[in-house]
Amino acid sequence: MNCDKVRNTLSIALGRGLEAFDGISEHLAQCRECADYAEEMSVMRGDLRNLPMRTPPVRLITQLQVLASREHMRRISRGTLPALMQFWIGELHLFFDNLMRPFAVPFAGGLLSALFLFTMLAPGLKYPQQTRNDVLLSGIFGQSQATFSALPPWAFSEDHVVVLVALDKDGSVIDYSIPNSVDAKMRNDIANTILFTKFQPATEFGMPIAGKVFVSFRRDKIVVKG
Amino acid sequence: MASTVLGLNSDGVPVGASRLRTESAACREDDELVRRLRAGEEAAYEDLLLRFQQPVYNLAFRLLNDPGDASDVVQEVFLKVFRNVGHFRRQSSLKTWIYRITVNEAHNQRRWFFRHRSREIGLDDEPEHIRTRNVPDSERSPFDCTFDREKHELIENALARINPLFREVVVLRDVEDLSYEEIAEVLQISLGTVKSRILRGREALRQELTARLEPEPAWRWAPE
Repeated sequence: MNCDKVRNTLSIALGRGLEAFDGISEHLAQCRECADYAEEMSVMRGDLRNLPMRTPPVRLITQLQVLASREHMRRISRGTLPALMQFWIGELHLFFDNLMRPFAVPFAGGLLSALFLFTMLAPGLKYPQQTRNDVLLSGIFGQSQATFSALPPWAFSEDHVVVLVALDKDGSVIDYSIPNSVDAKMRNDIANTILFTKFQPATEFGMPIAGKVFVSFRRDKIVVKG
Repeated sequence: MASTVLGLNSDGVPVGASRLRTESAACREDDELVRRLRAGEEAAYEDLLLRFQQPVYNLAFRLLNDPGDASDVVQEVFLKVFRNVGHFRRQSSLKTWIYRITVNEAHNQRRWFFRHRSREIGLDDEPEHIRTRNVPDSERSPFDCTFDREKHELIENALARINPLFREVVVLRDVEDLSYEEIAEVLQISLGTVKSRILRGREALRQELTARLEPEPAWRWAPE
């Protein structure tokens, strides 16, 4: 057995005992260099075995205990089917929360901007209001005035005359009174005018009611005083 | 301590009955621990830490030669063990499985170091023994303590300088006392490769130590 072969085998032989390998002990007894080599290897192995055990730092031990505790809780939270479902629902909820979070600030900003602009612009907006047939606010609490909407096409030739006209809830003329000083022709004209005039009854709480209206006649125009 | 010869291992070397009994008991203990871990018993996590935190840290430290990196690796190892214990198929012992994870994580850490931290300069470069508190041994003289400490430093430094592939097998064999078969399982290599790497690793370590221990000449000739 040559020196190279002995040295190659020594690596295994030192751990298992030289007796188990034929020829090595004899060679070491004869070869001084190989014996020194074996001695060095043996001492080196002994030193390696005697290296002190490195103790983990206290901080690492604490971190490992925390890690173990977390993993234990994690296993518990996913151990059973309901726990697993609850866990995944939580994860899903968190996922959507995180998904919507980037939109939250722009959405809130947009909404606030829109509200601000509307508040600033709303007072300046003017809408067409049709007040002709509206119920007057005062009519809710009291009797409003009767009005008329159309006059016959002829006019008068006399001076100023005031006529009191009584109307029913349909706007039809029930009665009227003309001063006695008015002559017959003008009385006839006024009567015709009143009969062919369309009146709108007064309203109370939005409902038409019977009422009276003063109608003023002049030569060139008619003035209505309620 | 006589042990009854019961069988031969893959090298054809006799294996004692007492060792087989010990291994069998360890296997049963491993199985029980794995079962409890899978069941989610809180005490099992603590038992696993108590049993393996020191060996794993020791192995990581020997492979990386840096306490901070070793701590990081140990945390990663136990995180993987806790999370993957359900996938442990019991084709090897629990110790071998955990050691395999440790070696792989040390590989990753070393790779990461060379990629990211190799150009960093640490501010805290004082050796660890200065920072740690050593309890004085009343039975040994200060000279013996100093001698041992220097010797250990010398070996650790030499160990850190050899090729990482060789360092792994030497540490697993000579420091952690794993068998050749266990080393082959841990490193996922063939038995022949294990033997070859151990041989070359020990030789590299011997040469490194020899070079360090050669006495410096008292004076040198210098050209005028």
